[in-house]
Amino acid sequence: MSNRTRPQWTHQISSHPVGIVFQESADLAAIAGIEGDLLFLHPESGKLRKRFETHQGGLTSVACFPLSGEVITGGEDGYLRRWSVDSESAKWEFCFGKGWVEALATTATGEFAGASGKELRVWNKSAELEIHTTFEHPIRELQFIRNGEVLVVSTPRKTIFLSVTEQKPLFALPHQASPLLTAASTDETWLACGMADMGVMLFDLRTLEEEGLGIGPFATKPRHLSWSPEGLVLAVGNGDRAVYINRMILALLHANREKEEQDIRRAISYSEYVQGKISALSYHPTEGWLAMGTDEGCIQVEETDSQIPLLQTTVAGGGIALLKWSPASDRLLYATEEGRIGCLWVRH
Amino acid sequence: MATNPIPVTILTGYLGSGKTTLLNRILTEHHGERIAVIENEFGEVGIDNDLVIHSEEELFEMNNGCICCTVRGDLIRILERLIKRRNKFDRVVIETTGLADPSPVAQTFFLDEDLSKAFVVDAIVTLVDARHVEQHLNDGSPEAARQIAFADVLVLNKLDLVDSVGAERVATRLAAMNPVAKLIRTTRANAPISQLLDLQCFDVARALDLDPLFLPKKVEEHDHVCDEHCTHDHHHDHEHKHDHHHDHHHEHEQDHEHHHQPHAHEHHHHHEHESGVTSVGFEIPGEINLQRFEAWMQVLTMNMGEQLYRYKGVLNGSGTAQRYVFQGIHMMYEGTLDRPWKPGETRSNRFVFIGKNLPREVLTAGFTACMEGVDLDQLQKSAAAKQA
Repeated sequence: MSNRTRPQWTHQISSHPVGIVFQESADLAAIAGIEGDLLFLHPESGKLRKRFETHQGGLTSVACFPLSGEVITGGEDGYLRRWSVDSESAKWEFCFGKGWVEALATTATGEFAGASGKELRVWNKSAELEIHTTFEHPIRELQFIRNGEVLVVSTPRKTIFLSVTEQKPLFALPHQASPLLTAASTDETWLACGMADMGVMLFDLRTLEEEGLGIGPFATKPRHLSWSPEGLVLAVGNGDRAVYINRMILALLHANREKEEQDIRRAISYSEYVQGKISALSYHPTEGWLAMGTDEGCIQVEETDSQIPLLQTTVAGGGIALLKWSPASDRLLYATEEGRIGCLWVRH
Repeated sequence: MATNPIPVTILTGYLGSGKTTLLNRILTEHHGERIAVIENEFGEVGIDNDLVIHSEEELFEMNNGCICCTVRGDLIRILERLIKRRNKFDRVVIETTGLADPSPVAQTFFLDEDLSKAFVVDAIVTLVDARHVEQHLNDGSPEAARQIAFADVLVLNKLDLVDSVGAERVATRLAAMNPVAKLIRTTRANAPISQLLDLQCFDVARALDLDPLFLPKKVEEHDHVCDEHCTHDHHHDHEHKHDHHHDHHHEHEQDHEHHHQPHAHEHHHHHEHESGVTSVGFEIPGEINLQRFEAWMQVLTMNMGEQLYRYKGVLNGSGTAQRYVFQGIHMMYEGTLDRPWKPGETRSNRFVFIGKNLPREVLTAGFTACMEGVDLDQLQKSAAAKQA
């Protein structure tokens, strides 16, 4: 094992980061900031390829087409815009109106969706409008599953599964509490919802039963969810102020899908040697490595089965806001609250 | 880098009371502040403001059924987005729906560690429709009563639609329900902005400093029970009764002359209305055992948190030259030692509870047990005897 504790390269954006996205081949990454800046760069070398100013007022959401590496962004100006590293300005745009464009989603084959308030629009790969509908409640998150055939629409009261091909809702999961964040497992078996009542609900995406598996409640609300590549481990990051003030709390919840609800095991590990509270989590897409960032600028990468730390470092620029693994390498991109972007190389 | 918490004003009021009119005034008046608005009421009036965020109200109860554990999930999510845009605005106004209970909104800022660092509740401002509020309360509307009970500021609006007698009757009724709220009388919600923003009502020390004699001075009816702590010259039990009719005239049965100045005997105020919203005020001389008081409050808020809407007080703790100040909302109790007592200042214990169906006897007995020098064994025996 060797650790690289210093960033391979760094860049600066002007504001709090909104998202880091990757082209599937890992040749291109894009980083977006709240003030509207969007950077395209080469993840390995850190070479800046293009910088855009995207939205008046600020940027609210970002997503990437995994094959082309093109990016869509949503803004406070009500626009959804599409960007390519090869163009000098937005390739395409649509204005929802006055509200923020809060949620975006893309598919590998080029379809994309955007939502503002209660309004949802889905476009095909030729950017022709396929679906235009409104929901009862504001849309907070969008996620394509099943190769883009189903769009998961997350609202404060319900999570709705919308058939893109049939253009109709398939099923709606009612929520007693509001989901704060959702994450589908890589194999699309589980949908994890971090709820405002401090618990995590797991919904089986194969059966779409209303009754989810409840985990928790924790002492504080779940803030970060990340699935292991095989979909067996869900990492939940939260800050437990009651007992563990200023310590990192990480709950590793092992969901054994081969057995029933009562067989769900919980393994909770407290990595006390990391300073601060968890502020970002990211599982490596192929390895069992979990990257954890804290509000004090610490980054730790741990092999979750063995709990062996692979990397521990502290970076400049404030707390860690985002962590994202390169899809095809052992490079970990991070972005701090102050807009510092960097790349760490974790070699096993 | 540490930054000052962002002040949050919670604007509430029954349907049609003038919330949106007031909100528009706050947004358009030249006060030099950038305001982020979180709304959950759609379509009343369009607001020409860049930073208006629509949210859906999300209420739920946890298994124990206590409303104090209710949080508003979507509100948390929106506030977290605002934290990242901290440099774009100076304060937040949350406009609740006309039928919303403001307490879960306020509690959101106490329950969540991150939010309580980033935001501070400045005040709960409740708009009251002078013409229709009596009807709402007489109809037993729990929402209208709770909105009044939770208020730090009551804006009695639409006074142009009622005569002076009606206005006074409503004002008296509001004061009886919530004796600690400041009352502003308006037409077309024309309250001075300076009386709505920057009030720091949830800053426990400051809130009480603003009105150190916050006991319900305006209210003319009360219960009054004297006991062994009384130092004045009438050692007999005496009790006032009051009765609220729908036309809101009050009847009193007084058997002694009573002054509403702070005085050195136990002093209760107790008001109950059709809605069940009650205010119970005390002024008691002597010293309080603060450790015992905090333990009592812990038990009290656990057992009666749902009933206790708002409470605040100043205590004369034993063994300290400083005032002990406390306030709370449901189970969210906060108490701390404050500034030293000033020379000549009356070191008494004053506090008010506002809530639903508050049991005055329980509160009296509980508090009495926290007094220094009280024989707890004796107290328990007499309580047991009373119960028997």
